[in-house]
Amino acid sequence: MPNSACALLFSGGTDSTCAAALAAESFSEIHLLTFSEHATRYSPVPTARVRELQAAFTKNRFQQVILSNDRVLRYLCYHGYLRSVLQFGFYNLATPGLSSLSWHLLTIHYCLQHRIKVVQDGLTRELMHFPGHMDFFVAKLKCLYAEHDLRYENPVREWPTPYDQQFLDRLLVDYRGVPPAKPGSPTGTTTGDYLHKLGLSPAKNIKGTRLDHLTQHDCYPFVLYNILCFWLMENLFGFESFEEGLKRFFETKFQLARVLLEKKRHSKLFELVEP
Amino acid sequence: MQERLPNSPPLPLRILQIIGGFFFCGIALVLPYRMRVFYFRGLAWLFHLPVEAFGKLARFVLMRTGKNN
Repeated sequence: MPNSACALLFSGGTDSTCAAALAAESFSEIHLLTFSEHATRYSPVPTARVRELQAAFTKNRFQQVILSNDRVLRYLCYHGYLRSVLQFGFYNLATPGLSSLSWHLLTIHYCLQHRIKVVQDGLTRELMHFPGHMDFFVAKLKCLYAEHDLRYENPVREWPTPYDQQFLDRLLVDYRGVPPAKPGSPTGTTTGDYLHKLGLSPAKNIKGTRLDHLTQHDCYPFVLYNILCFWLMENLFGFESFEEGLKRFFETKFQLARVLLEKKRHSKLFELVEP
Repeated sequence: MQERLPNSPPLPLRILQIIGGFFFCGIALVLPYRMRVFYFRGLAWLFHLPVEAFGKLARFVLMRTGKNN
């Protein structure tokens, strides 16, 4: 195996753990970046998962890194807030997408500091109503990384996803038929299948279970975003129009992200602070 | 008018959802960062409460009747 390193956005959940296991085939050193913010400060840190990966892949080195994205997220949310509210209104509550963007900003900063050239992300096609999961967002991320001479990869993006075990997600998201529709039992290997075969998961699908909640770091609370998306925007304008609005909103936020990465006076936002 | 997602609810429920959406989102829009996070967590707790309560009740009934979960 070549002596190379990659950074990987790591929550400890099934998808990111599967991406880490796949990364172990190509990289000798994997920096597992977990992001903590005010909203998720009581959520578990996936240290146990890191140990399991290290035990399974003894020839690789997994380095756990915990970063606080609180300052960056606050900046992305509230910089020029009044102007943004007048221009985009309720789109300013697309906070899960802003949270995602803050992770990637910190990842770019980390990679530039540690001379890492490749970033892996275990993003799949689940919950496609989230901005950070949408194709336009992923395309913008690829461009943002490329501007800093970094390669952003999604090794499990096109893998099939299992039937959602979370009752509320089935009720709110799947039932409404957010594209792409799940065709029932997936064909091919899911991320859970892959981990189960490696002995890193007790079952083929633990998503939404208590074990899943105990081993992974939470994402941003998204009840309010679900209300924004399904109660307000989809009923008023339709989902496609909402997605177009999100594209326009995040275009400005990606521009802000570029400014953050370039301007040294904002360097305090990127101080690698352990939560 | 934009095409709706399949399984959109009936019109009366959509109207209620729109009113609810304006209410909940309107509050969030004017809150500063930490208060907004607190508000989000509170809403999450509130909306998950019936599901969590049902789960606890189901576990209790299973335990009392000696059935395996």
